Amino acid sequence: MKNRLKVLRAERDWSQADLAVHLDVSRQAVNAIETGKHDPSLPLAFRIARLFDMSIEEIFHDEV
Amino acid sequence: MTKYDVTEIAKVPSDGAIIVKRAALGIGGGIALVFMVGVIAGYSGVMIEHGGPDLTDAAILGVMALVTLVIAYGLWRLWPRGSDEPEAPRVKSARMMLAAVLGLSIPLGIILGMSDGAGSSLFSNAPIRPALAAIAIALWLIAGPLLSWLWLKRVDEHEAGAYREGAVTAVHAYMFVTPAWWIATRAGWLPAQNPMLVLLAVSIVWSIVWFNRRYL
Repeated sequence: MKNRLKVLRAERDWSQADLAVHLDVSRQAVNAIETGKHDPSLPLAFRIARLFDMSIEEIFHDEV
Repeated sequence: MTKYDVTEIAKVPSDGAIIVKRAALGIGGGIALVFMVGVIAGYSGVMIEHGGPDLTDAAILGVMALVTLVIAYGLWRLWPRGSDEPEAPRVKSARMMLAAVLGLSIPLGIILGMSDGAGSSLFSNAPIRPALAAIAIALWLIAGPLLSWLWLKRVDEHEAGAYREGAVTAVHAYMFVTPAWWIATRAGWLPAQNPMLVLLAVSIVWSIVWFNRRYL
């Protein structure tokens, strides 16, 4: 699954560690989501969407 | 302009690559340090037997001591230090739990390994004293599962996923390897299984999958 997390994070001048603190996960988790190695669960996807004040679909999209 | 260039972020080596590189350097440096200390001790011993150092001996020893100090300094620089980057409370808490599990496992292994003289080891099947066995079993059966459960409750979903994937792979490794070994033993091709060696092999499989999923 592709996502815009890296861009959204960079727009706010946040490091992966900064975003990880906001989401209460490890920096490795943020890195894995950004690189598409880990698809977040629905609860985490909702937390991410709320943090950036966007809908889940605006951040994540499938590769079809 | 942001301070984090997204095109640069992708070029940063993975955590796994950094950890593997540091581990390789640390192990290599550690072996070199032990080797140099041994060489210095051996050279000094021979020197004393031959009536003390002359100028050449002193120079050789000085060079060896310098090389040893350089290696030791390199290892000290390599030693991981605290990072300034922010960290979620959950991550700190999970790390403390992991340290507690290791803090339980290492003394337990040492106690069992040294329990019955020089012939015994962690993977020995030799008898041990009942009191020691009772302490080890109580620690492993009560504190072990409790700490593991507390740790699993604290890690984030990415880490929990890596842990679960490692566990599934390890169980499959156990299911396929153990019966094959059992049959091979009955056919006289392999010695009888040592359960602790099987446990070690399964744990290694688990750790490799977990590390790969978490850091690479």
